[in-house]
Amino acid sequence: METLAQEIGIPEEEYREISKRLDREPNRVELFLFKVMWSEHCAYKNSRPLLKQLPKEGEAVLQGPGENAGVVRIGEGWAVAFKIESHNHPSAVEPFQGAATGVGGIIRDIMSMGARPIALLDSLRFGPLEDARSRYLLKGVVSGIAHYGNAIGVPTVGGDLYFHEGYRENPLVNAMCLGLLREEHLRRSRASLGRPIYYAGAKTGRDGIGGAAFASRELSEDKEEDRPAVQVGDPFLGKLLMEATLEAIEKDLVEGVQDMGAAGLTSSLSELAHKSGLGVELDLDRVPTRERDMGPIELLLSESQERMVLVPREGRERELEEVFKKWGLDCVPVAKTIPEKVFRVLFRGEVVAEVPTEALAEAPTYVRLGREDPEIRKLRETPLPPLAADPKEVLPRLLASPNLASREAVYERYDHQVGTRTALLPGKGDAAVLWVKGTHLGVAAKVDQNPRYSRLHPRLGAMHALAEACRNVSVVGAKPLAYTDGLNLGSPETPEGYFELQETIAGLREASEALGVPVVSGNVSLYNESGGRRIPPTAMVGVVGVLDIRRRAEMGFRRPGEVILLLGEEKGELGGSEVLYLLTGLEAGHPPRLDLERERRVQEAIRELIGLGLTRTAHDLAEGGLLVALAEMTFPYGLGATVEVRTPGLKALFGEAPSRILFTVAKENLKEATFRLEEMGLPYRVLGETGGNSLTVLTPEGVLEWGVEELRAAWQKPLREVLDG
Amino acid sequence: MPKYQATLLIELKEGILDPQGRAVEGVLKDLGHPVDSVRVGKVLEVVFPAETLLEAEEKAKAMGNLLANPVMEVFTLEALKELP
Amino acid sequence: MKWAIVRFPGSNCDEDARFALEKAGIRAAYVWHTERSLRGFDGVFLPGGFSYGDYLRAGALAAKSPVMEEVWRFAREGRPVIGVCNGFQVLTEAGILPGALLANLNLHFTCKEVGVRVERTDLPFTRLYQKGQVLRLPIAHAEGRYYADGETLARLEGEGLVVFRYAPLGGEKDYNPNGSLNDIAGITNERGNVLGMMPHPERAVDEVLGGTDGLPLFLGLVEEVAG
Repeated sequence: METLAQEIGIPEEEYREISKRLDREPNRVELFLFKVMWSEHCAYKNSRPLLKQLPKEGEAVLQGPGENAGVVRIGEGWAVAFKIESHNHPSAVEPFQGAATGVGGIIRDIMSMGARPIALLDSLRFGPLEDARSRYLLKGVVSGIAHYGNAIGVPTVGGDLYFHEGYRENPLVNAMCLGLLREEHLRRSRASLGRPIYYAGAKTGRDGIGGAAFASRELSEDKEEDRPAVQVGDPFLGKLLMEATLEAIEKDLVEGVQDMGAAGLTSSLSELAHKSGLGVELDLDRVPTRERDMGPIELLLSESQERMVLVPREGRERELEEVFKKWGLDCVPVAKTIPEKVFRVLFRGEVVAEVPTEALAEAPTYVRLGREDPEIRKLRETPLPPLAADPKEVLPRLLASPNLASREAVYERYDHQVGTRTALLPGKGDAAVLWVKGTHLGVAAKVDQNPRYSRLHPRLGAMHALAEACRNVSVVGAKPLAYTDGLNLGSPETPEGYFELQETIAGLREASEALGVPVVSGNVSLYNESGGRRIPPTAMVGVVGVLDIRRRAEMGFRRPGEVILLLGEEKGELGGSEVLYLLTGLEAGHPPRLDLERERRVQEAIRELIGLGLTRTAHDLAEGGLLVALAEMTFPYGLGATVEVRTPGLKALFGEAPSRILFTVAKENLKEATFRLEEMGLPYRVLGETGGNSLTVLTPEGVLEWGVEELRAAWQKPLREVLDG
Repeated sequence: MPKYQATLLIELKEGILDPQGRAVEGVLKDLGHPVDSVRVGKVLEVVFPAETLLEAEEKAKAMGNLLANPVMEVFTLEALKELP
Repeated sequence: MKWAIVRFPGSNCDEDARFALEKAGIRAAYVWHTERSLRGFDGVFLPGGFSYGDYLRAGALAAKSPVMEEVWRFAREGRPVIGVCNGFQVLTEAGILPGALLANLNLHFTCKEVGVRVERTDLPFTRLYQKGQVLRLPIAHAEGRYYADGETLARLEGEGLVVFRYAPLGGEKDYNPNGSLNDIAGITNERGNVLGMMPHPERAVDEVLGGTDGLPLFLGLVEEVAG
C-alpha cells in the first residue's frame, strides 16, 4: 500500500499519519479517499493556519466561512449568499468546459444555502493579449461562461480581467456568484441522526476523476495522458436541478443541502457527516450511473456535474421525490447518517472503506518558513526612470492597453439582465447593482485585484484589492458589508511562494480590520506555477454591499453643466503603474501607499453625498490615473468635459493612487457638497465642468484636447478585435 | 488536380457526457419513441484537391485531427470519394 | 384578466414575463409545458430562455411539448399569444409563425440595447405606441437572425405582418444586431393575435432597470379588454 501511496503522490509522512489515525494500514479505496480529501484544494493544508487570522465577525454576517457560501443580512428579512471559487486548472486544459463547469459549481454552492442565484461575476487572468494561446484561452473561457450562465438564466453582471506575463502558463478563472434568500430559508450542510441522504441530479460518469487532487498540483508537461476525463457542464440540467432544489427548500422539505463539487460524493458526504458530528454509511450500488462497470474508487471520486446532496425532513421524503420527478431528475437515497463517526462505504454488499470522518476532514496542516524572493525586492526598489512623452498621445495609448481597454466585447456575450434585477449594467457603474424587487433594497458587488501591485508588494497588493473593491461598491452608493476572497498563488512549498501566501493574507487582515469589512467565504488555489515561475500573488476580492436603490450613482457624465470634483488629492505615483509599463515596459517600483483610515473616510464621504442625493455620477480613480478615469466618464453617454490640472508632469495626469474619487454635482448643490467634505476634513478640488463632445484638459504645460469618439474608438478596439474576430 | 470529398464524423469520446444527446433522448421518449440512447455529433463534408486517393486520405485525416478537440472528441473518416 | 406563462424545461425569462405582466395589472400564472389545457386564461406568453438547453435547435424540442396544441388553439381562435426570444423561436419551430431564427451573423450570443421601430399600431400589443416610434429594448440571444424564403418574406411585407424592425438609436449604421432579413425584429400572424419578437420588452418596464419602453406593450393588453 505504501508503494501505491507513493505512486499517487501521497507524501511518506502523510501516509504514516493516515496509518496512525486508522490504527492500521489503509486499504486501496481508503487511500484514495485520503488522497482527495487531503489535497490542498479540499483541505487547505497550507492556508488554513494563516486564514484563521482574518476577521470573520460583523453585524450583517449570518454565516461566515466554512459552509458552501457566506451569507449577510441586507434588511427587511432578506439576505445575500455569496462566494468566489477558482476553476484554474480545468480551464487551462479545456477553457470552454473548464469555465462552464466553474460557473455551474459556484451556482450550486449558492443554491445549497437556500438562495436563488441572481448574479455572476468573473475574475479572469491571462498571459499577454499578443500571445496566441492567451487569446485562445480568453475566447474559450468567455464562451464557456456565456454558455453556462446565459442558459441557466443567472446574469453575468461584472468582473475583472487582466493580462500579465505572469499568467502565461497559468491562467486564472474565478467565478463569484450571489444569491438572494429570505433569512428563514437559510440552509446548511447538516443532517440529524438516522436520516436518509438523497442524491439528486445528473447520473455519475467517469468525469474529472481526481480533479480535486489535480487542481492542487503544478500543471505537468505531459498534459495529454495525465488529465482526467473532462467534466462537461450541462446548464440545461443545471437549471432543472436549481429549480427543483429551490422548490424543495421553499416547501421546507429538506433540513440540509450540500452541493457535490470537488471530490464528488466523498467530499460532500464525509463533510456533511463531520459538520453534523455524525457518521455516514454510503451504499454505492444505489448511485445512479451513466457508465458501466464503475468501480468504488471511480464512483467515490467522480466529479460529474449537476449533482446535489439533500437531507429530507422526516416524513417529507415522498414529497421530495415528487418534486424532483416533476423536473425529470433522479432523486434517490444513497446513504444514511449513523451514530459512529465514520465514513463507511458499501459496494456490492461489502464494506470497502471505513474511516473516521474526523481523520478525513481534519487533514494535517503545515506552517512553513517564508522568505521574500530577492528578485521581487530588487524590482520594488528599482529607481524609476524619468518619464518623457507627449500626454496627447499617451492617453489614447493607455486606453488601448489591454488592461484598460473596454470590456464591452466580453460582457456583450453575457446575458446581464435575465431575472430583471440588474439596475446598473456592466460598463455603466463601478460596481454591479441588483435590485431586490418589491423593496427599495439594492445589492452592489465588485471583484478587484491588481497583479502588478500584488507582484511587487504582496501585502500592499492585497490591501489595495480589498480597498478598491470596497471603494467601487461605495462609489455606486452602497455600504460594503463583507467580502469573499479567491486566493490564487504559486506553490507554498517554496519559501518564496509561502512568503507571498503569508503576506497576502496579512494584507487582507490589515485592510479588513481597518475598513470594518469581514470575510465570509473564499477559496484557495495554490500551485499555480510552471517551471519555477509563480503567478503574481492574486487575491481576488469580491465585495458585497447594500444600498437604497433610489440613491445610486453611475460613472458616466450625463448632464452638461455639472461641476466635476476630485475627492482626494491631485497626485499619482508611478511605481507599478500602467503608464510606467506602457512607456518603459517596466513593472517596477513601490506600488502606491495606502492610508486605510483615509480610505475608509473617503468611502464614507462618497456614500453620504450619494445618499443625500447630491451626486448621481461618481467614479473611482484606478489604473491609468486621473485622465483615464475622466475619459471613462465621458464614454457611457458620449458627454465631454473641460477640467484644469494644476500639478505639472505626467505623474499627475496618469499616476496612480488610492482613496480618490471623481464625482459631479449640479451647480446649485456645489456649496452643500463641498461643505460636507470640509466638515469631514477631506481634501477635494473643483476640476471643471461637463459638456461638449471632447475632453479638454488645461495643464501647466498647455491645453490638451481629444474628441470623445476618437478616445472611445481607441478604447474599444483591442478586445473587439480579439473577441469579435 | 483531382477533387475529393471526405465525410468526417466528429463525436464525443466514449464516457464524455453528451447533454445534447441526453435532452434529445428525453424528448423522443416523452413522444413515445422507445430509444435506448442518443449521441449527437457533427458531420463535415470537405471537398479538397489531392493527387491520389492515398494522399486524399492523409489530408482528410490531418484535417480531422485539426478539427476534433482531442481533449473530448474523436473523429472518424466515414467516407472518401473522388469527385467526377 | 389572466395570462398563462408557459414554462418549458430551461425557460429562464418566466419570472421577467410575470414581473412585466403584473406591473401592467395583469394576473399571471406559470403553466408547466406538460399541461394540456389552458382553460381560464385570456392570453398565453411563451417566455425567453433556453428550452431544452437549445439543444438540437433553439426552440425545436419545446415546440413538440404537449401544451403547444393549446397554444395552437389560442392562435386559431384569435386569442392573444406572445412569444419573446426563445418563445418566438418556439412559435416558428411549431409553425404558428412563419420563418426561422438562425444563428446571429456574428455567431455570438449578444446582449445589448438596440433600437426597435414600431411598424403597426393597430394591434393590442402596439396600440399604445406611435407608428414609427423607435423603442430602446434589450436583446439577449445567439439565434435571432430572422429568415424566411422570398415568397414568405414578400407576403409578410405585403400584408404588413412585420410589427417591429431594428432601427438606429442615434444614426449608427450597424443597428441590425444579428443580420435579420429586412431588419425584422418581430412579426404577427394574419389575424394579428400572435406576436413573436426577439427583443425583450419585459426587461424594460421599470426605471430602476434602466428603461420603460416595453411597458406600453403590456398595458396595451389590458386596454383591449377594457375597450
